[in-house]
Amino acid sequence: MTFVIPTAVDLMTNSVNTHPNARGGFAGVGEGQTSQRGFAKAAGNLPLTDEATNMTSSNDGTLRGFNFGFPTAIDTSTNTKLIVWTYQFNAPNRVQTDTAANRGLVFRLGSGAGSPTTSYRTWNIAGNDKVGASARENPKMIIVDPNDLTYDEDIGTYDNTDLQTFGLGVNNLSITGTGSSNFFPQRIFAFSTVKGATDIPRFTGSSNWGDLITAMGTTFDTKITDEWIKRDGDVFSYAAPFEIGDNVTSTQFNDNGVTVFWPNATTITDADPRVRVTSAAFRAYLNLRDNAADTATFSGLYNCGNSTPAWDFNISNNSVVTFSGATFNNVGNFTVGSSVSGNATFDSCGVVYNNNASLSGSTLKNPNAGHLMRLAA
Amino acid sequence: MTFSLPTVNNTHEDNGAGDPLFAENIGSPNAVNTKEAGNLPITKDGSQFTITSDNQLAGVSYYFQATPASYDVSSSTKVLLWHNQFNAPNRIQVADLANGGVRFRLYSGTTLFSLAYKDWYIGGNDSPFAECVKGQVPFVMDLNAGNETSSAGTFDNTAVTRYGIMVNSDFVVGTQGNINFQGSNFVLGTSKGDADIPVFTGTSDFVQAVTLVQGTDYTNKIGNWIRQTGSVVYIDMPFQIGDAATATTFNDNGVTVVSPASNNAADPRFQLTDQAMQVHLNLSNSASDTCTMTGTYLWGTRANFNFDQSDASLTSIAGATFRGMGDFTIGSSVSGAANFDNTGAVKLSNSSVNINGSTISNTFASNALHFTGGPMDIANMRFESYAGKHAILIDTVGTYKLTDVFFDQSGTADIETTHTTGTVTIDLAGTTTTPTFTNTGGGTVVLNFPNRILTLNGIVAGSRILVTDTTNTVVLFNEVPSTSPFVGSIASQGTDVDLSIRVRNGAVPYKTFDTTATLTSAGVGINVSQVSDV
Repeated sequence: MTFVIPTAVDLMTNSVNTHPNARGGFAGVGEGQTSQRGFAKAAGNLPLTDEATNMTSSNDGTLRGFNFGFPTAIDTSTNTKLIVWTYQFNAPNRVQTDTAANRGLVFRLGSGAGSPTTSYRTWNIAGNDKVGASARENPKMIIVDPNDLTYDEDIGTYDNTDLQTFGLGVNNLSITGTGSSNFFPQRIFAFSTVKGATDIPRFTGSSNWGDLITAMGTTFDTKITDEWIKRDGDVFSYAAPFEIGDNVTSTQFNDNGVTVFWPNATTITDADPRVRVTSAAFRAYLNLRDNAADTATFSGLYNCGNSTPAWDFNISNNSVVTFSGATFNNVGNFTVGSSVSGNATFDSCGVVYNNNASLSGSTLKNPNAGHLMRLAA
Repeated sequence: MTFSLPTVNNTHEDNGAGDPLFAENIGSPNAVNTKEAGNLPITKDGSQFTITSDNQLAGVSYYFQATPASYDVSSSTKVLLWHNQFNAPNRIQVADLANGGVRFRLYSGTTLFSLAYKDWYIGGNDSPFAECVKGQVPFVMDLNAGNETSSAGTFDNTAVTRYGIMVNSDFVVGTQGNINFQGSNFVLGTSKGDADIPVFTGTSDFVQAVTLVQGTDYTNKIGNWIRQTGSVVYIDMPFQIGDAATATTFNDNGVTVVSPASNNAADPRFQLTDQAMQVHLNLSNSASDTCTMTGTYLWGTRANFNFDQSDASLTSIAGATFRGMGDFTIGSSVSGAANFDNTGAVKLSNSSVNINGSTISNTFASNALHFTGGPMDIANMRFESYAGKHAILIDTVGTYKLTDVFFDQSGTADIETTHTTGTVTIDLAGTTTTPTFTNTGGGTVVLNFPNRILTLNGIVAGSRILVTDTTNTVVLFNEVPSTSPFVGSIASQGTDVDLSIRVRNGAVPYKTFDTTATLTSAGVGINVSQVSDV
């Protein structure tokens, strides 16, 4: 019974000034660094028992933010990674941001050396007119694929082979009372989207979607994240790639008929532009051992949203993968191998590449590709 | 283009003493005042109470309304939508769920010091309400809800008068006290036509409901009872499509709609009866009033869907999936092939209802489909996974026709009849599975099977055919067909029949052609091969 969330790249528990990987304040035109940098916010992180990097922005029409370094530079030129971060405003009268168009709350990725780097892309992910900053909410997720091209600013020469920094900034606008903006970035992840990678979220053992909730934590002193994993009854929302099996550990996965969906990719024109991803972000893989004891059973409903990621169930060995009335909506190209059998509905998916899977009784409809299925030669 | 909520019940923008509906403190909060920006939208203050001691239980209570002084929910329930948040993250400071970190109280009786109330534990430091700061946390309380954690006195649901929120403090991080803000709330009706049930009218869809509640900026976000992630919309309230007066063109645009479960052990913020999350169709009697549903509806409670509308309005449910709700009543204004999975009974309210092509599986009811409107015809429907139950209930005498209907025969019996006198006639047509029966009522049931078709190809002109039912020793055809192929329609009792076939022509002459075949529901075709006997 295991779902493993890979280790965070940064827990963000230090003040700005004591952060070991501080890489300088925002320094572009009309920008400045975070106003208060000397203390961390008590209970501002997840779990609640941890402090959080505290960031404030003065009400001076300046986009104020700070950059932090990845432990090692990230290369997304061949396979992308997915940045998954959460932030939270302090009390509700400390939201205080301008609109998203006016850079109310921005996420930044920088490439190359320098503190700060001189090459970066910025995504305007919230503002007082967007879900991410129209009120004080739960820890709000930021889901950014470094290769996403809906960025709102591109400065210098952004190099996706050498991504070194991540940052947040707020353009303060006093919208309620006179307090300044005060918010806390929390732990940040950089997930792989590649089969077999060490840093892709993964099910092993006797597992199901409920294990996500266990992995996330459910008490004030264990809960490590929020929003990008959520459960409402038998409906799960999830905003990351995943893999079932690691080709080493005995794995028996069963979705138990639940519904799982991913958010839509968005842009600044959307009501909630915090998900900025390519079709590579929300990929899924089967990686079961060559052993009949390894099983995966799907009877639930999956909806990948509008980013239509390719799913790779192309496994042809002694493992046993059963589709038992599962429905897959908005998956991109979906490759299945001979270990897969049973009936499923593929609705609004890409091409189902069938490498000798027995899918009798399945329904394929509303393709978002030129054809519904391609059989192996 | 409208999604309408009723007027807010209490904005909770004032401190206790300043709110005319304030009833009394519960326990002894250390302060009752207001929090700047503590409401939604954040341009509004929120009523606030503070607890400064560890392990202290305290809160506030309010009357629902000044006049009339109480709600009678004995016949039709109402639900309270409320939200509530803590100040900064080190100001949560509540006990776990088992110890009632966050509690809701509902009172009956009109006297201020009534002791009749129910308490529900709805949050704690180990549940989504208070595991970390969540902003305004929505919760929904059915005024008839059971599963209360505790109670006092004799609760009277004909006179529900006030409500309260309480916190049981536990200083889990640091030593600062607990500060809790209450936001605005709504009291909603749940029955068709109620003045206070949320309603879609005009050219409308679910995204409009999201926008109304989430707002377009910080000045008009009013709550989190409706949320959207991707193409999934969470809606924590009952609703109605149309108001029987305003022109309405509703389209769900294929989204997935999720309604919460009640009394979830890990997150008991929703305390609901099966009346709470009902959905009603209430279009005007006009062909220009339409409702189009192609999405997926996932219901956490057995609330009924009342689509019993039979007039000129047009509702299509073609391609929609309905899962988890209670009974689904359908009138003749509604049509289309839909999927009903783990729902209550699908009830067809009159003989003109056409949901042919639908699949009903995993029924929660004792019968997947009920002809509540009496005799009618259905076609191309599939009944699957009804173990221990029945696919169809028939309780009214008359003739029913089932064409190309599939029963997977997983149930106790495929059809249950409950009429006590008279005759129910069921005409099976096409490829309909021969159903099994339970005749609970004892009335007469007549089952008519479709004829089965024998085709003889390549008959030499002038030949005589002799077709014999060797199972029942009956001659079926003994004639010289005028044309070839010969197509014979043979009455069936639902079982396969063994045939003996002989074709002779002595005039030319030809040798006698003899063969045998089994006539199944799919029919049988024989290529007659007559050999010259010169």
